[in-house]
Amino acid sequence: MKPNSTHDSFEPDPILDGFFQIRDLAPTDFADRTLQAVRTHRRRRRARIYQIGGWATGLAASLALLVGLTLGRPTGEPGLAGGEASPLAAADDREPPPAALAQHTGLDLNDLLYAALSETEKVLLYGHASELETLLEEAIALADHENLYTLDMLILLAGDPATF
Amino acid sequence: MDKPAEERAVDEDALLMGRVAHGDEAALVSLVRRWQNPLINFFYRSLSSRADADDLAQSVFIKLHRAAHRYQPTARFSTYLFHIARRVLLNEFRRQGRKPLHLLAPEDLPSPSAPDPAIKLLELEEIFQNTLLLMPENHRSAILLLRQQELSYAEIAEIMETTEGMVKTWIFRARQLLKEELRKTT
Repeated sequence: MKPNSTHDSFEPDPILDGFFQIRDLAPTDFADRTLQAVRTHRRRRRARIYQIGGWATGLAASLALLVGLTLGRPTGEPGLAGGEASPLAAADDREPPPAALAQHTGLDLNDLLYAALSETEKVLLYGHASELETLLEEAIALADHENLYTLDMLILLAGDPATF
Repeated sequence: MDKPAEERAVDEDALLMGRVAHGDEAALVSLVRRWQNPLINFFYRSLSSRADADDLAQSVFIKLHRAAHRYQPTARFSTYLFHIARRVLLNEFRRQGRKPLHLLAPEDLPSPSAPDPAIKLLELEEIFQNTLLLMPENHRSAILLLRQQELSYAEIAEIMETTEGMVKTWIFRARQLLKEELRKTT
């Protein structure tokens, strides 16, 4: 097209065609810089995951200790005959151990976390809500298997400082 | 029989994405080289800033890299890519909370006076760019995706999460506005 024929026989369409054309605007080093940016992003992502993972592991350990202190009573309770099992211990034999890890898939976890983010910001602000603790505990277990949804979830948690 | 060039290109993008998902950086660089200009042109016409256009295009490639393991080649790669690009663009507008305040309204733009065709063309391009930026984002994105990126109405509707009818309306209005503003200057 000849976009400079602008006077007597002005036709906007060919002019527009010219302006819509894709030009070579990318800087020569754009691909290299982008690769660097991707590498930096990946490194930061891993660092955040480790950071959150460490924090969540500490949290999980504290939880486990609490659970242990609550449930770990001696088998011979006062008032029971020697060797007689406590009702609590009998109940423990019948029931599965407290479900520290629910059977969520990574996708479930992701959905739960998004829900937590949208509904209860305080969960993230203070980190005291048991729902979040459970989620993190599960996330760590899944992260061991390199579950990518979980990684995304952790990134979401660790990612935007404005979230916290 | 040989596949048409477009189909081969689609296959190649999908293959490259598969390799990116497995950590192949060379594949990522290839994808960047294939799509850097379409993306930068899209952002440049949307924001009127080369630096911002570069940054946003880079941001799209970072997101693309992160999402590579989830990519399913069910649609054309360009549809997938520009879906990400538009989200990045909308986030940028939201982040900046801005309208392009530095722009002049089309009626305030300099009246045509330069007889030199090259200068005239530059003026027209300035009017074109300003008019693009003054129109609603969905009108602008729709016409850019059609005329600049040569996507179909159906693909644009998918990218913009709307109906083909709405896309056609937006494009019609955008085109009318551009034509009117360019005509005013001649």
